[in-house]
Amino acid sequence: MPAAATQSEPGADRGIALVSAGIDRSVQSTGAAAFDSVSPSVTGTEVDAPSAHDATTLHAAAYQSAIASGSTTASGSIAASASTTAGGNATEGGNATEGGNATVGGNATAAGNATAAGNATAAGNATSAGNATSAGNATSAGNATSAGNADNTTAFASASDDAAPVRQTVVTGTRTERYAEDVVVPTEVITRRDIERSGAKDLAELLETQPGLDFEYGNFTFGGVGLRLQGMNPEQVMVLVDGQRITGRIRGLIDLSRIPVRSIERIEIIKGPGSALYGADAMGGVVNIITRSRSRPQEASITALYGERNELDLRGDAGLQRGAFTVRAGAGRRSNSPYDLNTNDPATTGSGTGSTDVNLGATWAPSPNFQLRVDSDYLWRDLTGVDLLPTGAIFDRRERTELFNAGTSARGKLGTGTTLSGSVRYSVFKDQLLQDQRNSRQEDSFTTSIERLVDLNAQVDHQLPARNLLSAGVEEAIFSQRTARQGADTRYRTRSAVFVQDEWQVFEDATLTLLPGFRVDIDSQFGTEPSPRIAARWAPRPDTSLRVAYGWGFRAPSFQELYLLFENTGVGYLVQGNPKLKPERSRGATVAADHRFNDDVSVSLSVFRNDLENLIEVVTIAEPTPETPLTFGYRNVGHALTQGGEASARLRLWPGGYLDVGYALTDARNLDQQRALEGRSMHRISAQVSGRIRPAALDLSLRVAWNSPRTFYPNGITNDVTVKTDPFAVIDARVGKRFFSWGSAFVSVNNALGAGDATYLPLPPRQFYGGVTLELP
Amino acid sequence: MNRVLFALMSLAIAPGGVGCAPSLLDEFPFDGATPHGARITHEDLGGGVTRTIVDASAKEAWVYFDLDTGEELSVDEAFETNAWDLQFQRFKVYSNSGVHGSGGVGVAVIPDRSLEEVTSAPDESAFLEDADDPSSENDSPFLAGDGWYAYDLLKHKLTARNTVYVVRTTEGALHTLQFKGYYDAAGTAGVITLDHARLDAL
Repeated sequence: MPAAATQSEPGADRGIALVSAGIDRSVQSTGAAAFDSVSPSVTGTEVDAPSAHDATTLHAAAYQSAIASGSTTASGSIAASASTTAGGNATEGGNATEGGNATVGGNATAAGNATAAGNATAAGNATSAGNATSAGNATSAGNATSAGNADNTTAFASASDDAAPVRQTVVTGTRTERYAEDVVVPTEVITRRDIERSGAKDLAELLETQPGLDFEYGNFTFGGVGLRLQGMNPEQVMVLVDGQRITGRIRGLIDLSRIPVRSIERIEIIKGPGSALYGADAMGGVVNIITRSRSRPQEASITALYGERNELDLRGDAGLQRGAFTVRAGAGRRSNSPYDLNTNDPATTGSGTGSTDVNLGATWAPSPNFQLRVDSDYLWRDLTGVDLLPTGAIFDRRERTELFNAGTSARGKLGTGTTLSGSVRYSVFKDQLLQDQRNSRQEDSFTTSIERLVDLNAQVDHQLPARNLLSAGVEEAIFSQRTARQGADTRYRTRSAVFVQDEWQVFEDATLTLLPGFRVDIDSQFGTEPSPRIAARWAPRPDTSLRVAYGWGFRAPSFQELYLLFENTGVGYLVQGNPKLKPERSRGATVAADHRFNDDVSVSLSVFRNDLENLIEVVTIAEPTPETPLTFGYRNVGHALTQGGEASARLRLWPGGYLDVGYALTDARNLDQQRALEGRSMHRISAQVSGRIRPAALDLSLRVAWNSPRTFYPNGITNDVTVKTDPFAVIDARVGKRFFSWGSAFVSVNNALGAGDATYLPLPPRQFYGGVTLELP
Repeated sequence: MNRVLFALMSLAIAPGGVGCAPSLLDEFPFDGATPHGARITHEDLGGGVTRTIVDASAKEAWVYFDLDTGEELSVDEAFETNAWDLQFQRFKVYSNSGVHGSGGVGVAVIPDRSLEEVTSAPDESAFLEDADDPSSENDSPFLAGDGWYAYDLLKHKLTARNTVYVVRTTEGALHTLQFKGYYDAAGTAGVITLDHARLDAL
């Protein structure tokens, strides 16, 4: 057994903590998937885990062994392979792994201790592994703690290393992927396997039927799909890629439909104010998209997909791992036609798309204690559509967006218990919008805007003997934007931040973990903004946990809100930015409980409440006078409240097949106007059956989301007209079949009921599509 | 300082980066015609009523209209002859009076009527002129009060009110006038449709 494996008490604590983490919904809901996703290519020989619980256990152990041995044998004793480990670079588990666990199943536990937590972290997800049994011996897990710092995106660990665990479905707690968060703060994870089973073509499709999420479907003419969390608007939700802020909000929202799922390893969602770690914009929560960075010695796959609306989607991915180096590259091309839900007018409802994206990344991990990663990606996306204005003017609209990201990150361990990490990321977003009025040239317009972001991070994590994992970091972000409507000048702003956090295992048995954290942002525009958070997790039993979190969140005013100067001379009004805006603020609390009844049934419940103030709204700041036109401006005047709860359950229907059901209640109210916030469903019910029918090598996925009526106020700030829409349900289904070890084919239908209308629910209409995937065996 | 840092970072990390894609404007040149020629056109609706379309869509230029002749006047002509009665720019409509001109044009406002319903001139006291004070130059009978249009803030659409204006021209003739619209067939804003008739011709 590795020396470190028998190390310290804190580890044990962690081990147990992880154990209980195992029953959190994120883990549960992805347990099996996590297991699967270790080696996506072996699905053909996949062995169903006896339970989600065991699945994770198995996964942890098996994965660890795979990593350790790098071999494709799994059977045998995982413990053995774990202990023999070599520090080799991990590869994504071989098929064997999975095969292995097949047998292992029962032993898993044993394995658990054997590796001792080789899984350590792993345990993170595997938690379960820890399950009571091993927990005891898992003392070892001690390392886990420090393991906390391990980069979950790279499998450079070896079981012999005291702090080099491998994590799978862990949660990225911070930008530098420290992992305390996933233990204490409820996190939902969508794994690679989930993504593949869903058949989703982009992030919007993937999340659409996810429990507890809600969406804003574009705005008049422009479309786009934005994510709401806990009733808050898309602009109040932060979207990260690999833990780092990205740019490219159009009209306030990051359009989820622009994000291809091809290169996503997993997605992590944290609901509720998260500014204590992430700073601005994390009012309603954080979505972190983790891209794929690991590879087997060599892997490659291509997928071709064709469907209604001229949907054509081609994508390819390849990975190569040699010694300390891993390289991943991918490319995709997608196109489809516009759709129209109201054929009585010339306007289209949803844009046609043509997008191309490429990504390239490399990782160098010469030792378990050091890793360097560089990566970049580029997206070019064209949208076309036809808009009709109330004036009768018809426009052929073309929008072209380009997004480029490049970044590098490094992480190294300094002695025992201290990890240093840092990153630099540069993003550019360019948007061209051309509106060509039909039969006239009078109102043609062409505008461009360009946004840049440089983000620098540094962080240190240090494990104290007294069961405290301290983290502290600094961030410097520089933003710029140039757009015609803000004058010719490029606008700049900078934001510096410092944060500190302590994850404290209060008792030796790790039943209680406290997580106080505090961050201060100093912005060149609005000044200082503090963001505290306190979270706690109590796990009285391995199968039960209770978590509470209270935190503050804020959203920085956008460049548009600050500097817009737009005069509509046609009708005589002016919209004026307000450089004196303060951030929007939220104060929110969440209480969540998870319980696993047995291997087949687990449930979780949560309630939340957020108080929002300083909301930025457009108000009339000058009535028209003989000297000035009617003038609108942005002011920090709004107050709102969002509260609600979620309940979800996972049932194992057959080995490898699961039913997930969820219910979300969201009561979101504008306190000034005393009315519900626009466009939100108060009730949302989702259900999903997914899994594999092994004898037939079939992958099934059926996802349903029902949404209660939503309220709209066509007259804006006045309540005199209220529109209540019908409830709607979105149903997506997919059947996939594997053949041999190198291919699969699938057919899918999205929005099977054809829900949607041009005005209030511009969803793409029902679409059948199918495709094939070929991969290197 | 920040700018310097920013520029350095940009250069170091991604020269060019974004901008590979060609400009949409090069790829998809605007179609449609640029308006040219007369900015004022007429159509005889019969019964003495003339429909006039004033293209006041230019954001800077004024369009001058002589109700007595039914002709558009160029800027030079307008200033030289002072025969213009009304001037248009987007939604702004002024009369040749007050701060805007010395033509002594008067305008009487009769709300909630159609053109046909107004067959006689109101009392002389009802006629208003544009403001004399340059600082309140928008204070014209067409814009004061409710003004000639209603504006839908949400749709950003302007619609003409059901108001009849009686205009006493530079030559002392009386014309009834009513705004009918603000958009042309292509939906272009600033193209004003107005119906008018000489009172003594009705």
